[in-house]
Amino acid sequence: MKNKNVLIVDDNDLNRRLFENLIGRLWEFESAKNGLEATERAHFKPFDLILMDIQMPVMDGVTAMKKIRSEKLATCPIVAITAYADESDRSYFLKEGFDYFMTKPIRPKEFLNELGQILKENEISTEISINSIKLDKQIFDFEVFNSLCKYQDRKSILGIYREFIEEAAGLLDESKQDLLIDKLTGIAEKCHTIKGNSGTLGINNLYEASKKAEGSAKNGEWMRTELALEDVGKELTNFKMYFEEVVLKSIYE
Amino acid sequence: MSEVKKILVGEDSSIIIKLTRNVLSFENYAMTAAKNGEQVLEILKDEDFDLILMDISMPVLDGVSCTQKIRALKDEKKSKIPIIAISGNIQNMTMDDFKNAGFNDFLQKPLDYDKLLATIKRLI
Repeated sequence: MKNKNVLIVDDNDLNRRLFENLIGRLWEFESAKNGLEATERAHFKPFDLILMDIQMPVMDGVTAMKKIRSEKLATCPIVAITAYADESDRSYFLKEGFDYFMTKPIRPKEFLNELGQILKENEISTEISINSIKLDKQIFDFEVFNSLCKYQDRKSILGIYREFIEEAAGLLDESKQDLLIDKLTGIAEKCHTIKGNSGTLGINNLYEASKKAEGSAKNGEWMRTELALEDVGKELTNFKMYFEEVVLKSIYE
Repeated sequence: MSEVKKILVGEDSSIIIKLTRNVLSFENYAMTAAKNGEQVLEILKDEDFDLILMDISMPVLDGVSCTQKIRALKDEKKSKIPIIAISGNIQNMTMDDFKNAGFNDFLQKPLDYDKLLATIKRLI
């Protein structure tokens, strides 16, 4: 399980420190002092879990949770944790919209176990099998594809991916020409475009490769750029093959 | 029955434009595309919009400079139009940076389209 990031929200300094010490043993964390700060942090960074105290000044935990959900600031589990309720309030908090509920004072070992359980349950699988073909998330993130399909039909999305492959191939060729005449700024722009589009479409390896190429072209490093462009070419070819063989087959079968 | 809302999108990637257009039409928003900040200003001269989606890194005239110019417009209604920044790299920036630059809100790339629609709904 790669390292998780937890947002700790509690107005009491001592409580916060206690949580930080425990959670910090296993995972990354950030802290917020009230609900408003929590919503701001959630807006900026994806977390794997939000631990939300309820009674807080400025903005309380229930309001903050509702704001996070309605504004889609985070989709991770939000755990209500409070000293002012007991187990019989569990259904109240779950009805309000929290995903889990805990009471204070916590028992450290149990607390960490429970959080670990929640994090594991909510882990988005990096391996998706479709028709028993294992998909590689680094080459192509199928989740991104699915989320794009939410708003448009599969056929037009596939068309967009094909269009991207063509456009990227063209930009790569032009970049190679630019390399011969030492026009590195041109290469940086083109790789910036490939990078942006591959990021949007969930083509991760290609995103990383074009990001590197953009970087070295911007720094005026000819040799590095040449090597980076070769990698971009490799990743584009990989994706193209992957797309044709795996994706098209698995979608239409 | 509410009238159709018009959204102006400043974005140099034709792929993002296509994807965004489909997403916006889902909620019955009418979208106009501009390739760079200069085009955004050109289009804004003759037409009114309910909201602008502004990619920060566009060629010719970038999103931040374009927004500054919009905020300085003499036409009060146009100068106050809600603008959402779209940025691929927000590592060193804070909400205040975006607000000071004249934006009402911001979204990170790659775009979460659910979040995009929710953010737009809050502003118009």
